[in-house]
Amino acid sequence: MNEKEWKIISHLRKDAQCSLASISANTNIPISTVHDKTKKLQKDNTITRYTTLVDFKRLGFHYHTKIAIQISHHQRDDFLLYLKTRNCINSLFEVNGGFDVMIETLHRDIKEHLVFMEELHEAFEIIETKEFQIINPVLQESFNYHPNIHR
Amino acid sequence: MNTKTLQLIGHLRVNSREKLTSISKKTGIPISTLFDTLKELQGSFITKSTVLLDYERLGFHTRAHVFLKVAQDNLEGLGKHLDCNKNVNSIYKINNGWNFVVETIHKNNRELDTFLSRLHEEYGIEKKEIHYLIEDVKREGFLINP
Repeated sequence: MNEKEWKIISHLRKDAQCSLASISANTNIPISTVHDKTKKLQKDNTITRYTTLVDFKRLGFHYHTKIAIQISHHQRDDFLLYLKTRNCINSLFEVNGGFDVMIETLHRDIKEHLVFMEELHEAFEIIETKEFQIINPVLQESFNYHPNIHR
Repeated sequence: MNTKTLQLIGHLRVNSREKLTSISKKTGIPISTLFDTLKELQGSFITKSTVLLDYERLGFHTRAHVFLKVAQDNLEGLGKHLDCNKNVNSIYKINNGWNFVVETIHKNNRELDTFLSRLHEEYGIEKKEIHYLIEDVKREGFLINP
């Protein structure tokens, strides 16, 4: 990761829809270099995806949680596959610290959430869950600095 | 929220740089409708367009979800501190006996320890729970298939 690449990433982190011309103007990196570097960062999977963050509450999804789950060891792979395909899951991480996965779920209301949890318990041997209800997001996808790059 | 709007959101969640012409072809929604809908969504339902990164590739090997509880007097100060901290990617206000869950990104465990020690010294953290993220299986996946 060199300074130019980080400058490009930094701009895209703030606004992934900004034009390459705009990045070039703001960074003094030639537009052809911005283009090539961006393609490289996508190809080598440093940039995994361009996405849009939305206000889920405004869209009608009022029940937002983070849930740590410990699953029976022999069901772990099937469990991950199952969770990957659930539409209500916004993020899914493998974790340690006593649990196996951390999921972030979104439902319209607590009733939908409880149905989801019930299905989960029926389908798999859940050893333990720990739920945290999200009241509101304060900051999202804000990490935007590299300690080795001096700007 | 109608189906067309959700379809547009779905496409932008998958790829926020996808051209409206491409979305129009895939969805059958006229480009003018997509354009008008997008204008309505920006600044209200859409909060930000960003890139998701592979932090391991960037040299950040320690990522965690840190759950924090602090005394009421220190709540605002802690919130402001976390908001400005360079190693914090996301912050959520939560309940169930906690105040915040913070997603942190550090180069190594030592840096995370230093971050947490400072929080404890300055804000008197009453309790904390750390879940180290081993692997991202899915990220920002909600509504990509509305």
